[in-house]
Amino acid sequence: MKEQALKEKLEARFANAQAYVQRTQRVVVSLPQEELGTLLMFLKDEGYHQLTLISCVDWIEEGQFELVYHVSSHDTGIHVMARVRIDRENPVMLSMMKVYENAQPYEREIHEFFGVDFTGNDDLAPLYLDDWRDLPPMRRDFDTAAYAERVYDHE
Amino acid sequence: MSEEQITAREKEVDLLFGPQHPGVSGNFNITVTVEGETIHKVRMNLGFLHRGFEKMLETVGFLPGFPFVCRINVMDPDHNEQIYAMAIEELAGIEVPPRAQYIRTIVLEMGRLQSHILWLNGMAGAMGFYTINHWGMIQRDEILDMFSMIAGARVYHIYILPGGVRRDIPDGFAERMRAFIPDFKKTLHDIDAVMFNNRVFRKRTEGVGILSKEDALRYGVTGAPLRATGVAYDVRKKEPYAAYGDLEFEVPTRTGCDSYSRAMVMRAEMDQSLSIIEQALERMPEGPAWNRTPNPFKWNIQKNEVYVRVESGRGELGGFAVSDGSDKIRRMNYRGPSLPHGLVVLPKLLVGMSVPDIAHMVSSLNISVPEIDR
Repeated sequence: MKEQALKEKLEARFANAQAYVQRTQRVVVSLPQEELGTLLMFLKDEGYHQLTLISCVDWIEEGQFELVYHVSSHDTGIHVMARVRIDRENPVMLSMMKVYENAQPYEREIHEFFGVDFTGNDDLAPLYLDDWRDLPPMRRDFDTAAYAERVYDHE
Repeated sequence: MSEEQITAREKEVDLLFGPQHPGVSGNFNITVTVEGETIHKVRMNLGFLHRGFEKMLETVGFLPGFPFVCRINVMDPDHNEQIYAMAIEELAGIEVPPRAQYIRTIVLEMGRLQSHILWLNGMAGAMGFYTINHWGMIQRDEILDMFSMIAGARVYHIYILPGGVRRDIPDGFAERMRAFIPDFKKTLHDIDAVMFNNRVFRKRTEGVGILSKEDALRYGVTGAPLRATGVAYDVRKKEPYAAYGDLEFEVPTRTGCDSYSRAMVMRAEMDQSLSIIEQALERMPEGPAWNRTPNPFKWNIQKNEVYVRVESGRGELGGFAVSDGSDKIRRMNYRGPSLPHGLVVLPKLLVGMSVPDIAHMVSSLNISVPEIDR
């Protein structure tokens, strides 16, 4: 099975990575944040040309942000989710623009919505929100209803 | 002051294109730096349609999220419902009956068709073929009426639910659809004569807005802009969902890489959509249209993370869904094909082009602004 082959290849190449086959065409791999760049370069060489999405999940209970890099191959159809955890107090991550150029807008979006800093990304200016001075709004501790009460006058 | 003393920057003017423009679907603003008519620099300004849907999905339950998700893409709402339903089905392990898969296929192809008609209108409008808008709108209205027959609403249907569809298709729908298909083919034939084979259209589009295969792959481009570079990537073939695995259809490609090739791919896809709908009506099995799911307020969805994808009218639409064992979704991240098209490709393509090409390029890449803003 091609998914199983990829999982074994990844685990053989990256000692600190844990991979599993979630289902047909889905491989999930978790690894330390320092090794992500090497992993993505390795995957790109293997034919995973398409960076589909970068997602951020706020695990506030664990004091961590999870960044999920979705890359897929047009040949095998496999969609790989590479997951790294970063510290929530001091969220800094290396930009993946050097590997996948279209990481730029996704990192910019995560910077705006979660407050994660991407070193190496040249343009992290706000994209969606106008003159925003509060907590980054997609964080779990940002309460939309309380914000509306606080900011907008109902009188 | 003599000509030599004027610096290059002083010759440039910053123009604000949008946020309201008749040739562009949705509100966004582009700061274009021009010298005369030639574009030197492009900066995208978004957020006019940011409604915070992903945040709202985290505060409502799983099922009440459906009225939100269909509004993510105004032009093509059904694929967003399908993504959300597929994500919940995979998280919760809900099965979909075969009849519902066929009904979903018909609804999704109707969604693609009406979205393609809106693209056609934008493309025609950007070049002054206003008659096409009327012809296209008449046919789109018939599709919306048929949606109203199925779901009780014209634009936002909230019809696809976890475990199937909200109700079975009504009597008379299949006949109406079978009558519509030849009528629409006739309109397409007329549009071919007036627009696609028109010398003005070809002059404006051939060799314009070239996006090479290498660049398309590098920037994460999907959909018609990728297929116009010769790559036959279509999620319906790569990872068949709904009933696409049982139906025969082609993935049209071109190799011109220009605006004309993209338009011809879109044109050919409309024929394929009609063929898929015909086949699905023909082969639709009997049976229930919805697998009764437990009370959605008592759903117990285990902690999990899934990614699901479909081929929307614009390219690969994806959804990354995270559940944490509670009665609400932890994170639902939408991957719209318009984001790489609009934020990465468009600013690069526009450099060197002239101001009247902006609306044309936005239509050519079929960018949906609400899908970027969410």
